[in-house]
Amino acid sequence: MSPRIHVVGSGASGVHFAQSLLERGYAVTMIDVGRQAPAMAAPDASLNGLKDTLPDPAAYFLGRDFESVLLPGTPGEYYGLPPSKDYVFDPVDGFASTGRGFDPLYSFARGGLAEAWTGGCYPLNDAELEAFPFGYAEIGPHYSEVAGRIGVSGDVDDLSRFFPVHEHLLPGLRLDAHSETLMTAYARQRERLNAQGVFVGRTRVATLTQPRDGRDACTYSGRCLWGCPRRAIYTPSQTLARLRTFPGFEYLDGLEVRHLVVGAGRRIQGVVARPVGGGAPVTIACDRVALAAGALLSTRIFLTTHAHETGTRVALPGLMDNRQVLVPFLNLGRLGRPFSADTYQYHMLGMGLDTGDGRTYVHGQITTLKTALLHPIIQRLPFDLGASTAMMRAVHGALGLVNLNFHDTRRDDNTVALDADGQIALHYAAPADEPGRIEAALGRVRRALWRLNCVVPPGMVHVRPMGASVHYAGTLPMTTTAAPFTTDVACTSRDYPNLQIVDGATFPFLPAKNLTFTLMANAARAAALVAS
Amino acid sequence: MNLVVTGATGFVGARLVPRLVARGHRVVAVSRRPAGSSGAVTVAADIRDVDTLATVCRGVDAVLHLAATTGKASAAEHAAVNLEGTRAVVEACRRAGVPRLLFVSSIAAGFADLRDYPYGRAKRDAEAVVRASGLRTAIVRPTAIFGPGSPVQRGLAGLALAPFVPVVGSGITPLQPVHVDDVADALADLVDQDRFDGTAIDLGGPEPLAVEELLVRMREAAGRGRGPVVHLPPWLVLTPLRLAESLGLGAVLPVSAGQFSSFLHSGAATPHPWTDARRASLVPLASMLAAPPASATPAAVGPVDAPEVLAAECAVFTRHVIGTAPAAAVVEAYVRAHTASPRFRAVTAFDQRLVAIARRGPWLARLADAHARLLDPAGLLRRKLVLLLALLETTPPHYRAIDAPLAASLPATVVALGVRGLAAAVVAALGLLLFLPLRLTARGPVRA
Repeated sequence: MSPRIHVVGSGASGVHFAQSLLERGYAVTMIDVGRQAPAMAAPDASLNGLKDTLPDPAAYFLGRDFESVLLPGTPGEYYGLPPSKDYVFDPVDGFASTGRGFDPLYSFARGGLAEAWTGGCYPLNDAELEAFPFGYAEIGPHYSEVAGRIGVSGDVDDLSRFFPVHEHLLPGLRLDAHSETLMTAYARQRERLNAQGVFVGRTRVATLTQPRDGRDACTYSGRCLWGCPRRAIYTPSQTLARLRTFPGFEYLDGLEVRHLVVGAGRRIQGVVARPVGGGAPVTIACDRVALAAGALLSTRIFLTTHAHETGTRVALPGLMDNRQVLVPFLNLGRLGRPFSADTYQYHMLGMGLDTGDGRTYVHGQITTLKTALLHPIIQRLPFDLGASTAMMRAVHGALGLVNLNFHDTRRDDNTVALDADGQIALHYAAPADEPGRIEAALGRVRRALWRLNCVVPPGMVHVRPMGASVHYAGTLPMTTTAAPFTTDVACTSRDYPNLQIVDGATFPFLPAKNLTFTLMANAARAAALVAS
Repeated sequence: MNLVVTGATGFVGARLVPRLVARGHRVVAVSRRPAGSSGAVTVAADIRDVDTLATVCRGVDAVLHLAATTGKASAAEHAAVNLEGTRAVVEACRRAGVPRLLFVSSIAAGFADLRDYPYGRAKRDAEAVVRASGLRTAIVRPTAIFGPGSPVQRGLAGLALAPFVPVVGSGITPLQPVHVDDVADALADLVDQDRFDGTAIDLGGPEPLAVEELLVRMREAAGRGRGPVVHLPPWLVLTPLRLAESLGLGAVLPVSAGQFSSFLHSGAATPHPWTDARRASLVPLASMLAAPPASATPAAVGPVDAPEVLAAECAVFTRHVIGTAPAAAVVEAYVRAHTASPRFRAVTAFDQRLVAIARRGPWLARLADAHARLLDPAGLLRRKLVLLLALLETTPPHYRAIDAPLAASLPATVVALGVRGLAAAVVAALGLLLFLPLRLTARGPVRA
């Protein structure tokens, strides 16, 4: 009989870890809360087609109780997530977390947080992997393997100096008119910008430009944000559906894993889970467990397990997240130009800032404004709503946004612990040099945008709170030297010999690039090491 | 121990003295205007009066020097009280043979650029005097001290609750507010632990955060939503203030150039093992910002208007926002939203009156909207209008009009933007003035 591994969580890490194991003859039981997406509305319609044909378009776009209307005075960070993605962040009963300096999102959905991602796929290079116990040579093949599974489109261009080129790269998406204008301007300014260490090119995204595995190529329906009806944008729930065709795969949903049962030799003997519909916790016996519930939820399971075993509470240091800074811009050359709703809506271009040190590279994703809801923006203009709406019409086709991402390092002060009720308690303080780094990058981006005919309106730059980028990592790091609360090169716990942690918790460093593609590749790498 | 506390009736001193007394110390509380009943012996004295001070200090184990002038005092006053006053305290300690001196400085003493900040300069120079005193010293640099009666918290709240939150510079400079009780506890602990080892310790709160984030959280804590933030270039604020201060007008200005230094220099505490160990038990920022406990019952909301009233209102507001009549689906959804959610009902009397005026016609709606945008951005009228805009941008045929460019070419767009901007500014000015009397008279909660 093939050995069976219990995997907790169905997010980006869990499904690719499981797939690699199943392909190597292992049996996998996946335990998951598994909140499900609602049915897709009118899959053949374009975005404007939905507005024209749905019986109640307001309910689709704004929610049945208008809960997605962003009213003035609403506290908290605005994520622009539509009602169709509410399920991704729907918590289980009794779940809570507190944060000082950290405001996280959690997911209990099938596919996890990446069900609501924007698809950025960026392999890390050797400089960014310096703190990891392996280099690009070891993980590179797994980037290619994952790219083959999910489909990554992009181009080999000026940004490739920052992203190693892996196999299975599909041709890039069709650019919208505004993105084309930016690339034309970049071609004219290229030498000057490159001399300043600024490079522009295509982002790599997990969006198909060719059909594969029953998924369609992007049809440019404009529905990206609302959930791609063609499944052209990859999400982990697609892999989960594929896993369920393997005979050795078992999916137990409706279960929230609380902690693990530790036996002799500190071996994990069971998984204790609470049925989300209510009822007594169940214990599932196991030989080997992999935590892939997302860095924070995996850390909670680990800490609860440790507290049950030892009777002591510890705080795990090293919590990381990418600081994101949103830089809106106005492309002067596009004033008065129309935009097409029938285009790809997420970022297609990126702006890389060379800092002279590969580890501190600053990564920007450029999104041009097309079909996103406008009322959250228009209400911020300092005029009456009639005048503000007219002015937005004048600049709509000229607006864009650079989302700058900054790297993060593990620091002792930034911790994940359990509070008296066993809930997650986070503490995060930004490093002292951060304001200087942000200011320096903003200056470079403003100057670069100016060369591309764009201005950054004063007072509009937004530094997002920590937790907003949803790239959590660092609490149970992979290290070369053995120590408690660390993991080895195969992501195996140094505390519990038959436990792996295969998500972002094991990252010893967080580069500026979105980590999801590396989560998947690293999980595939860890699975390959187990199997070997 | 026998202790002397200067500035004993000040913001921190008044919290510190009772703690020291409770811990069994014999305390002489020195201030210019003593207040009794703290269990300490009170002495009225100016700290610059070395003779009196030296007499008071005879036989004392430690002096805790808190007396200072803060705020927008003149550069000469800062130098006289904070620097020369400290020199006098050191001299009094020497004459009286006091072995220990604890000096409460300020995080501002470590700012890189103190040209505009006489307070920070005086504290920096006073630290040097303390260090050179030959006594066993402890220097404490609190960050912004919050708590009931905090002058700095009151000043920041003034900014946070303005119609726009004004932020000088990028707003990412960190601050780390600390509660006055935590400062008083720390000072008492330093004395009890006899930590007079010459080091300077930054005393910060539990959480460093960007100044903009702090202002926004203060605004949220006051129930005002995140609010619009306006970033002002430092020169725009500092140049006029410097000019006015150089002309001797400092006393009549609401704020000094130096006080804006906290927007430009890190006010976060440098980590120190002694303070790090205390961090978990500090008063959380949320508690510092919490408004007085809210009543248990949620704020009353007004009644839902009749559907025909809401439908007529929707028609007027649609004319105001996009210049046409609303589609039936918009009217239906607008009325439904009012029944479904209390967010679209009046909370204040001003809410009720402003909406009642605005629904009389598109032009009144425009003026009332312009007023609300500036002075009541999260009020009922704006909530209704933003709901309407959300409905229009998702419903045919209106979404097409909102998605269409305003003008067909670059020059036409620039002209249209200029004309619209000018008109909007005039409307804003008119609306601002027109509804001020209503604002002043229609106060209090919604009326049934």
